[in-house]
Amino acid sequence: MKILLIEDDQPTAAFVEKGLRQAGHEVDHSGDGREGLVLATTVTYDAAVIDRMLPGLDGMALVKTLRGAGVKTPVLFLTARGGIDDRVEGLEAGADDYLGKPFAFSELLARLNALARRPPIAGEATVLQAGDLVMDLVGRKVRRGDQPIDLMPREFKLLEVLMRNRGRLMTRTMLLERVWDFRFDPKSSIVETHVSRLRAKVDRPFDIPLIRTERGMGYILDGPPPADRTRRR
Amino acid sequence: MIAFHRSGAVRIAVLFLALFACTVVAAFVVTYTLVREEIVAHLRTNIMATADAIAARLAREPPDLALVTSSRQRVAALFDADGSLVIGESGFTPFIGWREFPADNIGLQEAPEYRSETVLAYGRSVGTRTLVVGEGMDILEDSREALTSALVWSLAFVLVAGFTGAAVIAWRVDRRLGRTQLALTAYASGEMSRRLPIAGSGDELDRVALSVNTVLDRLAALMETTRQITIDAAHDLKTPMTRLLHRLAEAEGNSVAEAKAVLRSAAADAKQIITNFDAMLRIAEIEAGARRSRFDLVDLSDVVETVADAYGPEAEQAGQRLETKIGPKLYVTGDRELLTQAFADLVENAIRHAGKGAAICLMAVSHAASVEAMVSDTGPGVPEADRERVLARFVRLEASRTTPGTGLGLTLVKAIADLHNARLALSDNDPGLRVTITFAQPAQAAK
Repeated sequence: MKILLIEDDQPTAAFVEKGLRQAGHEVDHSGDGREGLVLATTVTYDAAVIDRMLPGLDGMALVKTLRGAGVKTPVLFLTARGGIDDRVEGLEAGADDYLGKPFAFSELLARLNALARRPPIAGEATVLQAGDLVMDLVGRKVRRGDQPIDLMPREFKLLEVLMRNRGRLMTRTMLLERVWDFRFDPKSSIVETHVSRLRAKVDRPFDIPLIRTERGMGYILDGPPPADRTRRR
Repeated sequence: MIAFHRSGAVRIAVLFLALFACTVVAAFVVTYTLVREEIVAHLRTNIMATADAIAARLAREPPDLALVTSSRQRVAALFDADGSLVIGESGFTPFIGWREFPADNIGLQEAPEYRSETVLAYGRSVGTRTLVVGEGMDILEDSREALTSALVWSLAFVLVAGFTGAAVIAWRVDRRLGRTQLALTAYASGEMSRRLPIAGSGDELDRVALSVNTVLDRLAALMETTRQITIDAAHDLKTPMTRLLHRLAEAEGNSVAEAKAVLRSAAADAKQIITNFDAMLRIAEIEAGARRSRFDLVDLSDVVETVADAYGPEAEQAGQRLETKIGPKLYVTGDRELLTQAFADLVENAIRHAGKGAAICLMAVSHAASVEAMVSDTGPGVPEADRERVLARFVRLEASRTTPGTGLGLTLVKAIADLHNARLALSDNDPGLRVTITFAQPAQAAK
């Protein structure tokens, strides 16, 4: 992916840039709001990471200007603190997601991936599939192979989020936001508990586990690679 | 001394004084006009009657007898057709109708203290002759003099009284405002206990002073809170910071593998510090109250249900039971995100402190004027003496010293409740702790 990073704090910028390059992405960095705006409007990027506080042009104004100019590049907004208002205002200005500083790099990367590959709204699927796991969104039914799986409403929602983002890392906070609408950091391990319950129904009775734990980061739901499947047949 | 030209009270007093003086003068002018009309009308009637009487007598008596008038202020003259004086007052000239003559040329038989300045005269024809009868207007002149001196005295009194009154009012207002100003200056320079003086009369200055005092109270409370937070935060953060420093110092002498382990725990320490900071910032942000502008109708039943749903498995894992008694479609005015966090914090607290085997209950009910949400547990509870204290920042009871936590959880819940103008109460669940948040019913009908 080609990513634009607009961040004036040098250590943070270097940290993010290095991480993104290691993950195989191309990065353009600007430490100034006005220069960043020029880059964002003249070069096509897959995603942009924009800090809230910038010299030259404030991050909020930058995003507004960008959206006003019709640039649809997905924007991940970085806020200096867990500021509630900052976040709401950022989303209202036109940002697609936000991340409060300080953040773990894996969290930033996971969110960027989710942003950049966000499926188009039109043509919403009614059936989700991962390997032999099939979710019927209309009938609200789940089965694996021929076996129906009975899920509680919240388990269904959790599985739906994982399946919609199949193959992508979903971090703990992303799941908290999307499944429970929790926008704070609970001290308990509620995500872990719920995922383990879901696993007990979706994975444990079957040979091949679909939900994978990325230690300290989050979860990925993915069907087995095609080669695997042919061998099984 | 008072700077009179800058005193608002004096300015207003002078304005009213001028207005009042004008009114007094106008009243006198009107009075004089009316009095004059009345007197002149009276004089005319008298003069005409005398003229008619003389004319009647002229038919029977000789002119010198006929022209004798009853009053010393009244004189008459008789002229021939050619205008020559036949008999009587020589100061008159023959004419028909009404005319005024200066009294100097007319021989009125008046005492000096009643001297008239003007004579009102009436001329009429008697056969071919002309009869003129006149009377001194001293009554009118006396009235004018009396009225004028009354006016002058009234004006003098009004001005003196007005200026004295204005000066007194200005002085009193100045003295009161001076004390107010003194108090405010003292407050501004750090004397936070100073308040504006209240006269006790309940007048407008008192009402303003009361409002200002409320503001000052709030400011002082805020200042105190800020000071307390700074001190608490410094104390609370010093411990993990020191620990972090020790770990890092320790890492220096270690082998690479050992150093890595130390670095990991150092990172965990740093994370805890950041968590504390985040919680503090969040509380500060909530306490600032700006979120209220985003308030909306929130389905409290759904909020509590979601929290119960999220923590159910967690409680089970801790060997506890999580029950719910939630009325359907209970609405409150507020911020969904913050309300969710408040209930999540309360349930987390219950799970952490209630211990194995405890039952945790989440309740939400509607009353006539309020919506009540309750989180209760059957754990050890909080001693009554500590219930107020646990709401303060960084307070952690001895029993929970060893468990992880920031000591900010309940502070945050309290801040959120306050933001919603909801009442937060900790009570005995017998056994255990019961936390009740009481909201006002939203003004508009739900949904």
